[in-house]
Amino acid sequence: MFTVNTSSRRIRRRSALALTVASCVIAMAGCGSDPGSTSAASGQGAIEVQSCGRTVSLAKPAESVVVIGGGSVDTLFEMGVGDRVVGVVGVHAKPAEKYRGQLGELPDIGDALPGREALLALHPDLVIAEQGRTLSGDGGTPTTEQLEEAGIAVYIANSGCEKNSATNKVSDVFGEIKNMGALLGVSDGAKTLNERLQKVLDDVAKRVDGRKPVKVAGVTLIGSDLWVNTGGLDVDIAELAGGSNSLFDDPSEEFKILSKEEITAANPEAILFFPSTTTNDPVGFVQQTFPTTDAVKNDRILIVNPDTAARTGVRPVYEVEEFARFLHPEAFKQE
Amino acid sequence: MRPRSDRVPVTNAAKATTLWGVVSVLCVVLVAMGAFGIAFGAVNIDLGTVADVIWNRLLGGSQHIGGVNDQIVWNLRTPRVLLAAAVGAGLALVGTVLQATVRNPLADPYVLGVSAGAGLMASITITYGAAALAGLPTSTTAFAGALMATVAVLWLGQRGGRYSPTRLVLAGVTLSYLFTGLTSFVIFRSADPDKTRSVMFWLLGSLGQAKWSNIAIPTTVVVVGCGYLLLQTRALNAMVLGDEAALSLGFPVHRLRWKFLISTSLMTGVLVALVGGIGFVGLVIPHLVRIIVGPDHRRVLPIAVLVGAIYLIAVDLLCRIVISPEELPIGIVTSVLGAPLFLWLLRRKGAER
Repeated sequence: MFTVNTSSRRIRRRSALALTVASCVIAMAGCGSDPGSTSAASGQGAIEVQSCGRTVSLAKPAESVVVIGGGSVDTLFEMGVGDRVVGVVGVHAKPAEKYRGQLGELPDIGDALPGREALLALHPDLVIAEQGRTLSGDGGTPTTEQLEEAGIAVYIANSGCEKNSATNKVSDVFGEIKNMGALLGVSDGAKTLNERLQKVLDDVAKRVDGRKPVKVAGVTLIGSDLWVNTGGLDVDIAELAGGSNSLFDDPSEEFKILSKEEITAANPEAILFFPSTTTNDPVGFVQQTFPTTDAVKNDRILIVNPDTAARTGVRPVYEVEEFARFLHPEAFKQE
Repeated sequence: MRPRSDRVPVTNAAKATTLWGVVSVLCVVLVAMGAFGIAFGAVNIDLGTVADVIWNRLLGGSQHIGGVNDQIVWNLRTPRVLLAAAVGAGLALVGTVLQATVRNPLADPYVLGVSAGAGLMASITITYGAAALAGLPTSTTAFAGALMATVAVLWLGQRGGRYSPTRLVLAGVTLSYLFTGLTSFVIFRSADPDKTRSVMFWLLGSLGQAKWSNIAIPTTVVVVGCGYLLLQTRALNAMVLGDEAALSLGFPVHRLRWKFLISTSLMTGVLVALVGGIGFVGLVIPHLVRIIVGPDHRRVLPIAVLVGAIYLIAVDLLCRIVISPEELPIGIVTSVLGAPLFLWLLRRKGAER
């Protein structure tokens, strides 16, 4: 199954061949054909991509994939290879409603975290994980090494590596989608998807251009703590959507725990609320917690459903559009 | 006229025969529980395949080697079961010895603050990264924390070179509170929910890190510890009677107490460093065994070792299957099972022993 490293020229050659056949792959996948028949790129040489300082190698495109991080399932469907998903571990997120039916009944390999034995027994060609911590060995999860020993390739999104997550940007998703496309032998599908996502970002940028940035507070409720976005992906999403995180910016950290008083004193104009801890009435919670802020007075509260969370793939881009519609609704009046 | 008795006098030879009988039965149960632990888990693998994998691995066959079943049975479950046996045996042994050494029925492997010291260093390593502690891995810093706690308790617990059981226990409990408070502070200050979660997993204990490459040290330490402490059963019997009685019987109590504290602390430190905090095993098992076989350490110690090993293999199996395919941290199950079991033991006739 695995091969040793080969030259980058070989990868490019394989990618070029994959481009040629990928339209057929997408068409067949879209028609719900047998996953085995979509591997037109099989036997074209080794595929190699970088993942958190490791080289992930596959002799042929992966035909069975386990996704750890429910949000990334959407990305595979939008690349045209959703039918290769044989297992999903949500990690507090779910695939989009429209794709859940297409996934059908998948074996239970864990919900919050992947189960070690269950994942090994499924024996997919590839595991795609949004976050490295889900393959740390903690809490019954497998380690990357254990999976590789069993002949399973592991791709961890670079945004989920053990590094400072405060440096993550929305633009990182393009590289991740390209890597996933390469591992699945659908580089042209990935390229098409990236082009479409870039158009979404360009459209949002055009619409919010020249408008006064809205001062936002991205607040996540974990237990009784209020975690405020200070850097990283969520701040970049808000800023691309025409928001400003200047009240809480701290480029060295992704989050900071702040008190109600500190958030109230900062007086955000809009609150993006991520109720990580289940809250019966999230809008009511925000209204009661920060009643004097402009955000509450002007009813500018957006509840971000935890099911839609994702650290990579298509969702951060769609979130930019969703947030922009919330922050600058007048910019979307003429669709 | 000679007083009549219906009871048949039990000779030493008969007692020894009974002990070896019980030990033999427990050895069989241990092997059977080990087999269960390897045969069952989150994934159903038919028993024939499990037997094939083991057979081929032990006798050099090639069937099943390298496949998924081999990975699960040989590389995941087998070292895990062996580690569970070693940790269970070790914690039960340490608990039994400490209860006699400090003459306190509430003593367990963590009474001297060893677990709390290890937990503090582990939480610092996980939260701030290995670079914060000279690049050392979590297990090494946890062991350093266990040693630090041991040295501090032994220093605080002695006066004039002699150890008072009461002072030792109080020093251990106090330092445990201190280390636990500092650990909570580290968790509270963590700006990363994932790392907070990792610290919680570590503190709750897990045998999931077991692999062939890391079970040799704890297993060796437990085997050597058992070998040494099983030869000290007469001294332990004497220490339970009190320092003066033990001295009058010819046992150098203070020197022995120091040796027992050092050896049990080292054992605990090695075990905690790899598996985190697994509570109640070292407290409950010695009491359970004493109720069944009486207070004589010549019987209590070997039986506690075997029962501890059997118990932890069984609990680990439960952790792996109860919310399958995910796993419960083992510390949760040992506490949830251990507390009612301990209370039941307290209520039983004979618990006064």
